Amino acid sequence: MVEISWLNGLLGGVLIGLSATLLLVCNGRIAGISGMVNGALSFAAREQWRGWFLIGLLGGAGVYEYAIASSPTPTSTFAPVAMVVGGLLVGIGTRMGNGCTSGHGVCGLGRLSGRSLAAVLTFIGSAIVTVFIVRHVLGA
Amino acid sequence: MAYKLTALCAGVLFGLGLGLSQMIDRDRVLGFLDVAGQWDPTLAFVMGGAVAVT
Repeated sequence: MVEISWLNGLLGGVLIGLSATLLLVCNGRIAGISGMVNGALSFAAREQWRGWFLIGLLGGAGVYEYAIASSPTPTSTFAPVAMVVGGLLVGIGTRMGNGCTSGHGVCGLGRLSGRSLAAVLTFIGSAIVTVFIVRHVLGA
Repeated sequence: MAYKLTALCAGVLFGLGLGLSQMIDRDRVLGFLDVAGQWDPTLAFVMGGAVAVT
């Protein structure tokens, strides 16, 4: 279960990096998923490309899951209310912080942005603390 | 048109990358954050690979 698939991780990361580079070099845009959803929800004509990116994102993950993956990815067992509240918090937090894992972590760090480094250290740090409390203090 | 096609291709690449690196599995992401349990460093390799290419 916890075998270290570092090679898959590295290859997947390279694909994500190529995706971000393609978008930055050809379109001059940042491949941040939270900003992508945020912009796509405005439904303005000049933001339509964000919808196309998201369709590709779901399509790419779907192709992997149904055509490439050796075994199905386990699905979530969280309570629906927990997922809705968690999703809302992610939405609010990523807008306040101007980015998420993809925007700050991949694009920002790749461009050596100090603001992104601060954001990544903050959200990974607080996530580690949250998981520690939930799993080892509360024992969930 | 080319602009949207580029966005679509970038999305597909991103989705394949997430699938291949197993970052569509919440247990792998939580495993990275659980430093006191059975730590799963895969996410570090994903970010490392992505940042290096970008």
